Formats: sequence, C-alpha cells, structure tokens
Amino acid sequence: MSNELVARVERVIEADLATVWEAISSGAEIGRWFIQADFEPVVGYAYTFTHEDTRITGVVKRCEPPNVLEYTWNVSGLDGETTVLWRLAAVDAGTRVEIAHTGIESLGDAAQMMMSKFAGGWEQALDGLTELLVVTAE
Amino acid sequence: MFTRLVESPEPLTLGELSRQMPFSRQAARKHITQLVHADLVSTHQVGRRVFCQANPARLRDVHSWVERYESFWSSAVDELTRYVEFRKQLEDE
Repeated sequence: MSNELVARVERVIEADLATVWEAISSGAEIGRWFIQADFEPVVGYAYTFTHEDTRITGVVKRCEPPNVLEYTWNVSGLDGETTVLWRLAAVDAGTRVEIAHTGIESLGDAAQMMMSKFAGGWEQALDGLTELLVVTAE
Repeated sequence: MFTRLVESPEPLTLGELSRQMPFSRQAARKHITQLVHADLVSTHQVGRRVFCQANPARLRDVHSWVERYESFWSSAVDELTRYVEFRKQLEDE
C-alpha cells in the first residue's frame, strides 16, 4: 500500500551535477533555497528541518554522492512516516533531478493542509533570497 | 486489486478477488485489510462471505494529496533551480 502513492517531480536544471548535489545535501546550502536545516549527508544522520513552529525530522537512509539521497520525512505533531528520494544524473543540458515522495497516504488531511501552507511560505522566503542574490550580483 | 474493485460494477468477495489475482486468499485478505485501514475499501460480511467495495470518493481525496505533494516539490525544485542558476551566475562573474 505505502508504495502505491508516490508524488513525483522530475526536472532538468542547467547546472552541473556537483553544484546541485551540494545544494540538496549540505545543511547550509539547503537553508539557502529550501528550509532551515541541520542536515549532514551521512547515512544514519538524524536531521531536522525547521520552518516557523513546524519541524520535519528524519534519518538519512541512503547517501550515494553525487546521485542518490534518501531520507525519511516526519512532520512534527503528525503520525505517519514518509520517505523522500532524490536522484540526480548528469545530462547534456545540465542535471536531471527526480524526487519521489512515498508513503504520503500515511499522513492525514492535516498534513496535506500543512504542505500547501509550506509551499507558499517557502516560496516567499526564497523570493527574498533570490532578490538578495540579485542585489549581491549587481 | 484496488483497480479491479474500482472497475467492478458490484462488490466482490475475497474469494473472487483472490481468484482473479496472482496471489493467495491470505495475501488478498492482508492487502484488503490495508485498503480498509486507508479507507479506500469498505467490506461487509454475509454469512461466511466477505464482500469488498471500493470507495471512489476517498480515492479522489488521495489523488488530490498526491497532486498537492507534487506541487509542493515542484515549487521546491523551482527554488532549487533559481538558487543553483544564480550561484552559477555569481561564479561566472
């Protein structure tokens, strides 16, 4: 059952594999585009992502630099464990990024609401980051 | 198995389901229990027979969850893209 429901996203980013790997696997880098993170790309590492009052915790299950990163994903205050799998591959145009988030049916409706809230919140925060980077670049 | 139930115009018994599937009645029962737990299937017993029926409304909820997560990760990858591309620009300058 848990393998039946998978949210998948696939995209090609115009950047080299090493840069994208660093962005998704280093805690400092994750904090610059995604969410405040205490994260290390080491199997068994118990990481914490923090967004306002919400914490996402989990354990790194697979780490095969610079291609595969898998971690469990538990949202604070909610039952149910999900898993996020990142696969990166070098392609002609840059790096192909695939994300598969499995086990989402184990979370309830509250979690679904929270996810849509996050998406907006993070987008705003990251728009801020983008502006900062543009100003720095000018 | 769930697909088979959705396609079926009427409830199917566990026996009927397991005959149509490449696994044992016991495996079918276990799988159905998980689907019932997820509220995707409801069952009712008549004598010794257990009838199973899909819950399509729940399936629609679940599909919208998948869509929401996909849109969440899609936004995340948008941000990742912007970030690494800006980083590249900074390095090039």
